[in-house]
Amino acid sequence: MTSPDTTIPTTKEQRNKRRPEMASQWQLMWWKFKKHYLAMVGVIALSVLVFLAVFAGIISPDVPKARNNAYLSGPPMGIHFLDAQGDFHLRPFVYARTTKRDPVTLRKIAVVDTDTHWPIEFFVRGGSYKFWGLFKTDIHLFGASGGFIHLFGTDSLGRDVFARTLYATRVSLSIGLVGVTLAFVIGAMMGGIAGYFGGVADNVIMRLIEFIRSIPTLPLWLALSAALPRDWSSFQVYLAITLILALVGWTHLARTVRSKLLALREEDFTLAAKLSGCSNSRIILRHLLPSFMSYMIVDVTIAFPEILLAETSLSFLGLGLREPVESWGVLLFAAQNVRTLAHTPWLLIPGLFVVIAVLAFNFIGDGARDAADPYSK
Amino acid sequence: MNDDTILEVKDLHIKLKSDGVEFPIVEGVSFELKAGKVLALVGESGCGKSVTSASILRLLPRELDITSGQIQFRPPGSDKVVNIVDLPKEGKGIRHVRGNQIAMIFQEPMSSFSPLHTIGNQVSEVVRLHLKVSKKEARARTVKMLDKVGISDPDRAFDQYPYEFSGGMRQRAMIAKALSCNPSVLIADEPTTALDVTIQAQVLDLMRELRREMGMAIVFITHDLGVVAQIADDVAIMYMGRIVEQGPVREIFANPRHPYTVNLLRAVPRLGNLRDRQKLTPIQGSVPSLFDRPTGCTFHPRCSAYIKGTCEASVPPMVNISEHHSVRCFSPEATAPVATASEVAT
Amino acid sequence: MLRILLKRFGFMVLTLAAVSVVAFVLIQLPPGDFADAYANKKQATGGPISLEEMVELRERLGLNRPWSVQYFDWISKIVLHGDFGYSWGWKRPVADVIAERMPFTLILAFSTLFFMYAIAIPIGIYSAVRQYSISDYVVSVVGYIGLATPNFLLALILMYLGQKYFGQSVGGLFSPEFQDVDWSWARAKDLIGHLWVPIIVLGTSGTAYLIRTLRASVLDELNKMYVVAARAGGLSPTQLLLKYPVRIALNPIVATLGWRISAIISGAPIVGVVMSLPDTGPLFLQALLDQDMALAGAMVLIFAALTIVGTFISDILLVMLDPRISLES
Repeated sequence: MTSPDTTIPTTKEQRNKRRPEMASQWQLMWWKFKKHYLAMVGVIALSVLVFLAVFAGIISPDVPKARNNAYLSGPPMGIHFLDAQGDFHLRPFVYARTTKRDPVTLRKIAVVDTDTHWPIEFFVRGGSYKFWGLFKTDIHLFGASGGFIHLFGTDSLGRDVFARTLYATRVSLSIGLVGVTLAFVIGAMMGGIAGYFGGVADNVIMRLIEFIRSIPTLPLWLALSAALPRDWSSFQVYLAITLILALVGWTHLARTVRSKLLALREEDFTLAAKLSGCSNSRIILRHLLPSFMSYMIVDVTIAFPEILLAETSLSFLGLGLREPVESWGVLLFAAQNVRTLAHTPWLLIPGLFVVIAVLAFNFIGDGARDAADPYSK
Repeated sequence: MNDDTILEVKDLHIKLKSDGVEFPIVEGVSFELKAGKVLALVGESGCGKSVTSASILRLLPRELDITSGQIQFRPPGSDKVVNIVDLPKEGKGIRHVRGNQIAMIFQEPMSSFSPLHTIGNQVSEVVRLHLKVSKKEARARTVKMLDKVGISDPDRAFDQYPYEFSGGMRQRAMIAKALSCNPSVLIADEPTTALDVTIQAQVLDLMRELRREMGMAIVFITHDLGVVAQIADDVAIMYMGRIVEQGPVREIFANPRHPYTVNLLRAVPRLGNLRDRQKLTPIQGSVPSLFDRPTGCTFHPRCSAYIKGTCEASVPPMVNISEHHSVRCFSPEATAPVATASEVAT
Repeated sequence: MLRILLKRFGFMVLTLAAVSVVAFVLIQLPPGDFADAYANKKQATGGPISLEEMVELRERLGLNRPWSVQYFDWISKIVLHGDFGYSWGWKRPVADVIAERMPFTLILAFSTLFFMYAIAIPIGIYSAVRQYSISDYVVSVVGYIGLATPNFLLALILMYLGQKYFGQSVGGLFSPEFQDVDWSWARAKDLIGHLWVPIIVLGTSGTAYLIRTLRASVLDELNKMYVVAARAGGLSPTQLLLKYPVRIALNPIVATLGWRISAIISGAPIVGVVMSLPDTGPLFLQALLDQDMALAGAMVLIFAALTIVGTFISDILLVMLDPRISLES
């Protein structure tokens, strides 16, 4: 039975603009990707996260290590335009906080003072930091004049959760990026060897992959990172964790590369390249790689959230990154205790970022999978 | 509806809905099927012949809809005529017709069977469903049917899986399945296209033989005029959703009128042509895309008898040029009445 | 058929052997050995240990023999006597420590597995049949979020909500009054009452994954030629759905059974830690934090063995379900 192609452009202009027979493979994929609504949402969400991570220093109102002793375990502070009397202010403000002692527990608590406003100002001076490690500056995008502002509240040491989350976004995303890159390189190499040469190499690598996949990943990650020496610097730990995640995460990519290569190896253009005397590496890099790049991109969008989640889980258990490094998992480590959580639920906000990042990648992955085969329906 | 007509399609329109826009796929197709006769629907791929045949059993995919027209069917041994278009979707009415009174076989024998169920299970499915017989009896009937379609060792074949069958064997099994409830109409959607030429001939022979024996009428969909000549009594030529010429096979092959039919017949290799070293003439141009549908007569951009100002302006009506032969063309040559034998003689 | 089973079985045994090597390496990985750890401990409590004592200890425990010998010693004790070595963190044999807690891990893992399939199969089929309906969208959205939320975060959120709205801790597997009593009907009921929270935590992402897989494969099957052919035979939509697409879509579901088990076993420790369950989770984490590697390595070995056996079972099931597989080899 005829099953009609439903993705064909339907108006005259569209038809003129889209000439599938003229478009390059990437163009076709992009057209298809753009039609995937959720994937575009994912791209936007991810772009926002990356933007926050890249400009974490300037966007956060203070440096993440700064402690505000006047606002320990303080709840998030809302930004207002209307004050308690219902008057509108063009310049947004936060209500002032004053410190009192709880008459029963004698603990210091912060009380909202709706009579005093701390107006929000832009490009204020605060704690100094190194912008992208290049130069020292103390400019921050916004701050509350006359007091402080903690959009996501503070932790038990009075550190700003907002600033810490932004800095953590930077670390977590970078771990994902480095980890995926490593996994990508290992996967492409192993898969390439298995798929292109076949035979014994293929057999050995496939068995290795099956073996790695048959071990439950998290316990393996945990055990490997637990075996790291305790006296390593946080940077060494960072590198080691990334490497561990990549070492376990490359198998998917290798499988894709292998199966595509096995199929492509039989194609005529491969034979043609071989007959014209191309070297093996040239055939792989110039002729074969471009043909399945799209499938590898799909796999990367799957591997990325896996690595992200793994890092978060490791750090959350205290076996991955540790203070003073900020990562989403490290921040959530502080929220491990239910009793703490009951008093300071805002410590879970970094978890929201994890969910958003993983969702974004899943959406993009779905779109990429549909787009990877632009000629399919 | 005439007494000997068993199935009649009247002015059938089918549209494709895509992103809220509608495209005509079948436009005003009408034909009659007489009891026990074979009607061939012929055309290039995408002309709407498969869609037309699928609509008879209401098997259209979700995006396709019958927008108007009638499909009248007279069940065997009954005077009441059913309009299949009016039956509720997937309701009891249409399910009673499917496989029981009107059966269908498909183009792809390889994918028409589920790989995880035995051939016997799938072939006997219709018997169990419509004849309400015991499992044992269904098996016996199915084995007999498998034997009838020429499958050797049918008892063993019953328990085999499709992957153990060749393409030709599967098509035979498909025919066995279709005919096991003794339907009065069989719809065959390019049943031989996917087969090797020798197997094709065997399957055609089988179908002819079974028709003689069981007496069902057949709607035979194909793009192969050679097959038409072998099996059909009547033929309807389709182009872009419309029937452009129809009539008895002999008459159309001897006296094709529509420029499209003429061209189609010229593109068929014949032994006589080979001897004279005549070249096959392909039809110029190609079928336009569904979305660039020409106005008026859809064949006019490729037509040799194109009349400027007329052909693109409106759709030509179907003209009867003899009792059973009609053609849809503006060209006076095409619609000239058929010369009677006496006129030819003078 | 038999040949495939033998082949798969052989592969399973090989994998188990390879895993045991990995576990052994993990045990040996941290700097220092049992004797060092023992010495540190002794020193911390004030009793110094002499060099001769260390040498003697190493000699007695066979720590100065080559690794290969130590490995075979270790693995043959496990295989022949079920002896996983000695946990110096617990000062008890590893096997005893694990045996105490393993039942809870198994109960949790298998009930999660059961609920995952029990929920995912009907929902997956339903949302495929009702593609693009509101309920399909709801299922998709919930599924997406379920997939994106790490287990421990879900656990934290549930525990926070439990604390806040029910004023009680939803952690643990028993109410305080049943904590340390003998097994009874009431205790079992109490366990079931507590079990659902960790099941939700552990099963959500897997269920979401299964629903997506099943939905996609049923949709895929629904457009297959043989489904149209069967429809042309007069089957009703329900008969059709159950006989063909669902039957065939079950294959990938069964094929991924091994991975699902692996994922559950993977997730169990972290959930156990967050919800302070009396299962192997907290035990495993503590062993890792203390570098009590005899215990940790044994647990990695057991976790991996569970997964590998699970994969083997899913392979066998698949061979039985799909006649084509026997043909291929």
